[in-house]
Amino acid sequence: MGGGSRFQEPVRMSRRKQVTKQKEEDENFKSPNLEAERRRREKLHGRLMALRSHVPIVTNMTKASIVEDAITYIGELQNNVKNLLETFHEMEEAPPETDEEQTDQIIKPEVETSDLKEEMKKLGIEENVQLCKTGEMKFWLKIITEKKAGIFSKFMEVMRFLGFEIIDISLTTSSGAILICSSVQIHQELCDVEETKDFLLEVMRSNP
Amino acid sequence: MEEERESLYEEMGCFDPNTPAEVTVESSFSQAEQPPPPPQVLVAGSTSNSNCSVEVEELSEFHLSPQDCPQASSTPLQFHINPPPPPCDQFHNNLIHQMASHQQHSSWENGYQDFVNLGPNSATTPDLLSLLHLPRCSLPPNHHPSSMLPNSSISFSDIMSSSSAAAVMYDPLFHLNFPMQPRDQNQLRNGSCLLGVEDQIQMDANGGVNVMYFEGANNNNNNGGFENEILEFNNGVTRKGRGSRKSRTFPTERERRVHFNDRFFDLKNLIPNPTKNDRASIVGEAIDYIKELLRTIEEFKMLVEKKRCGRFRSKKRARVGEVGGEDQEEEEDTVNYKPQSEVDQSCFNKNNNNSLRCSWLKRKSKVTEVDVRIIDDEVTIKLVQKKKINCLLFTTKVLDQLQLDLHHVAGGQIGEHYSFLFNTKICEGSCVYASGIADTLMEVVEKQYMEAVPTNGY
Repeated sequence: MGGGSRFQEPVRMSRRKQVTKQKEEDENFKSPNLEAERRRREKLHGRLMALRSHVPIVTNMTKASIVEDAITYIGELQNNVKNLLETFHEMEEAPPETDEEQTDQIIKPEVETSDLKEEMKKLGIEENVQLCKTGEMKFWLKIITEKKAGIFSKFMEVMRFLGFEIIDISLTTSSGAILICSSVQIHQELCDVEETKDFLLEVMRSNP
Repeated sequence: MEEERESLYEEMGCFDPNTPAEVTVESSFSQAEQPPPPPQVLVAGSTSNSNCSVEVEELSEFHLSPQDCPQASSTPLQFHINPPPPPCDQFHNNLIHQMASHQQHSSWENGYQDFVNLGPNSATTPDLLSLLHLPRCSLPPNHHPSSMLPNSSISFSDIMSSSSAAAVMYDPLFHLNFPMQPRDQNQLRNGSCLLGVEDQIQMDANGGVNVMYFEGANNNNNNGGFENEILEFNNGVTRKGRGSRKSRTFPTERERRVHFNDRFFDLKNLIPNPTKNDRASIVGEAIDYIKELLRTIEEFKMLVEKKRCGRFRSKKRARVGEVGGEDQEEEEDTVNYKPQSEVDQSCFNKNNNNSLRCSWLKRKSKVTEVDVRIIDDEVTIKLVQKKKINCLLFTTKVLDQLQLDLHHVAGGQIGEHYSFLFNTKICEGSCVYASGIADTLMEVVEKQYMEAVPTNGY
């Protein structure tokens, strides 16, 4: 009817003609998205089958029940996880037995760090800071220092303090030493490169 | 052949071996005017017998009148029975297994006998059902059976195992490609047959197995006419609706669709961080989420195990320590280590024999993505965030808090994002788990991002 309203004739067109004309139009009109629509349907269908293969619950074979069973199953799994988590936490807040473990723990890191220091010396790794200008407001920074707990966050704090924006960074640890290489972007002119270097080294050496 | 059949009946135990029944059948069959079609018999249930050889002599009496089938070509009338066990694929094996019959071909023949025994005399519902089963599966003899199986035969076997025993009983018959018998058809076109149809459909719903064949039958143009018969048989009930089954009482198709769409919405709500709203993505993310949950469960199980072993170990040590006095702690420990060693060893071995603890999960949001992988005591974290804040700083703080020992870090600005990769180690005694790490990190980084003033975080 919509197409007909443009013309005067359809008013006189018989009902049957209108219907057949519409039918013809429908037949000639193929969705330009035919292929896309088909692919979309197949994609959804494939995924539903995959979903079903993962879900051990099967009540019906209809698409609707695939989704419903999946919902039930996910609920079950979430419950399981919740219960396991609770069990886990209960075990953590545990009885005095764990004190033994903790004392062991405290002992260990200290032992380790002194070992690491010696290792570093043995291998001849020396503390070092390098800071080179690589562009207008760009610098390249290299730091070698002794590895300690929390040293990287210290480094990041210093970076923030100095207003250094990290373009890229690479950190490696080996034999008690830590190596940090980074390209940084600065926003304020650096007054003195040497001073900054010393400052950096000092900070990295310091104990928190 | 007779003795064989009878012994098979006994195995099945589902109906009485009735020699008279055979006679009945024969007599009804003998009224078929036309000579039997070319001696090829097909049992559709044999999933791989489309090319199998034929043995006709035993079965000559079972040929049905082709004129009852609208197709003169008598495709559905053709039966193949393959007495020697055919090369069976998994489906068939499951089927047979379910039937608990000892010989593969016996189940077909049994089913066949079942059918045969249905005469006008037989009135038991199960037999009716089995009869009604038959016309639904009309396969052309050339139709390759394996193509009808779904992609995952695993799920198929699940279905098989979950279907009720009664349902399973009918299955072998289902594959028999029988058209309607003239006599029985007349008889069955009453309320009783409708009942059978209803049950059949219900069984379809429950068993799930038959649906495939149902749909397979749908697609066969050869049997178009045949299917019309079925439609009539169903007394005008629409095929699409699979009979007048109302699941959850949907008076209209529209309501059914609405309900179906709501299901997708519910599924979406279960998923953490759903991204797109279209059905396919929801399903895809549901799959990933299920996998993730399974991994997390595995991880926790392992952690709990470890904890238990660890606790057991330390319990022993504590007891020993008390006895020995505290100043001598270390020595006592070493001295007394031996008697404990058995216990420790078993725990130790158990943990070692199990696979390494491993888990992996991902958390995604509009601006951040966190990927955490744990293998044994090493944690690899990948972080990607849209460039706005100094996320590296916050990340390192979180890592310190979680007692993760940094070994390597690499990353930087890539386009509009920051991307970093962290290789860390879990400190001994620390009990972190993948989802904990991921969630904490995600939370912190997201929060900082949201709260940041729209200038540089520097």
